[in-house]
Amino acid sequence: MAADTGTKTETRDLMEALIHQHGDSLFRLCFMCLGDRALAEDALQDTFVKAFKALDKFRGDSTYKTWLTRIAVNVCKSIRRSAWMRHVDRNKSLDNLPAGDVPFEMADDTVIRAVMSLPERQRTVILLYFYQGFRVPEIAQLISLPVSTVSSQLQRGKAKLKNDLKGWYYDEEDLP
Amino acid sequence: MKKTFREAADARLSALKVDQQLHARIRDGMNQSSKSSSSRLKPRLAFVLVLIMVLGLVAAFALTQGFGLLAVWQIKEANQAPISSQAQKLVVGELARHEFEHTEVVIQEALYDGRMLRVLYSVRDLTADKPFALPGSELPPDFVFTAADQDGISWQTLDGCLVDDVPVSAVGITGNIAGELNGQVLTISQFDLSDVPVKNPFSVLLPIAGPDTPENLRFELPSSPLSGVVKLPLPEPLVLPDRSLQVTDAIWSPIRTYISLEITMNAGVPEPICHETLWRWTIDAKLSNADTGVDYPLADVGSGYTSNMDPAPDIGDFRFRVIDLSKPVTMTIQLEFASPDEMPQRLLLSAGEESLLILTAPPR
Repeated sequence: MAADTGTKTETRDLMEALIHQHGDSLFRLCFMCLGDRALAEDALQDTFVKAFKALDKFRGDSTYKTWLTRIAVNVCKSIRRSAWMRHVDRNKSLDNLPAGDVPFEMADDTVIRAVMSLPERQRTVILLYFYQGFRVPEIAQLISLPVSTVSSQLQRGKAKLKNDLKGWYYDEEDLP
Repeated sequence: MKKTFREAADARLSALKVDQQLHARIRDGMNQSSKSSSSRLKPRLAFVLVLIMVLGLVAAFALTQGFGLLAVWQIKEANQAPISSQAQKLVVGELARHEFEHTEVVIQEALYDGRMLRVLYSVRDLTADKPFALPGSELPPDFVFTAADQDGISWQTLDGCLVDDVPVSAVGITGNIAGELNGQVLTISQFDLSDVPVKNPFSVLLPIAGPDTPENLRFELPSSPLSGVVKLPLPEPLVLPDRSLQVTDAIWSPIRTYISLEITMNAGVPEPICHETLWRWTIDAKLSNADTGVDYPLADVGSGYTSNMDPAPDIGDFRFRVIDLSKPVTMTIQLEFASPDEMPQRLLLSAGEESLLILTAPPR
């Protein structure tokens, strides 16, 4: 049980801190992986519940961010495989998202749509690289793929996005 | 000025925040998991649950001489529709094996029931000296399979396979458990072959390690005869004032009873009626023995519009807009029900007030 990592209160406090620190970005990551707000909420809840249950097994050989992202990616993958996702013709549009507190430009909308329309594996790699800020070897470990595969998926995804977005958002020095 | 992707995403998605409601939901989830896993609070209950789990795993193990496909499937689909005891007759074992540098991959068992191909494969770390977890249990959420990663094996799940050289994508439940052998992960994958004209026998190539998969991971399965599998005669369409319902395919197998239903809404029927019809059949569909009234559990369902509809997110989730009101709207419902050991003579497919009678043998 998670409480073994410390007292029950300490465990709760740690989880609260993790939700506070990483909750929003993981929520958005899940949304961009799944293309649906309700499913992203399910995924985020599942991610933190799984983390809570497995906290005593966290070895500390990665950061909490890496660990939580790995769980979130696995959860999203599992949701994508579910019967619900298989059969329901989901609405992947961003149109029904309410306005947030940060003003955005139409170009921001365009880039998100382009990323969300990438094939699953390319999308995951692109999100982990450009949104979560992981490097290629970290991503390889995080999603259990060889570095060479991650690199090639990243290159393909970038090539497709560059074509779609005419290089609006990338700094070449970001590229590996 | 150019933005980074992170800045663009955070701006566009700034409405997605862990608000109080979502925070409370996460906290509830943790509380529930804490209660259900607290051995200190409920030692006797925990002991009973563990005992039941162990007995279940032992039974599954004993019945299949290891964690076979059906046992793993039942574990992954816990609390879902049961599988008939006759299903074991369709299982074919010891299909293909290949040893990589760090791992061994074995296609342990596969099964084809006239609609779905289900495959159980094992990936084993050749250097491991103990099982990854309690055999039959889930792997930890942050599990890293170093040996498989080193060999570049898609151990988590397969994205697809080739059936008679036709690419087929994985569907439905899939997942991993720890196997009984040291360093073993067992994975089950499912593929819908309803659109593939399979040969007899048909070939399957599982690209576990990408495009360079060794030839010996190819195997063959029979498509006929299949023990206990019956293609059912189709009933007459149900014609109502504003719609008609037609069963387009019905297969009885020891694994599942598969029914494909096509609904045609007459021209001019508004979208809310179409929406209600689609979701009633998606959520409330029932299959029962028409003579005894016994219901068979719904195992899986899929549905969607197939013509004259466009997504309309502005009116709500999963809502659509009729493209041309002067034309009919069609929708398809794919249903999978648990099959009991014996096939009844008459099956009743229903949702609400609408029902279709399926005779399992042609009328004399």
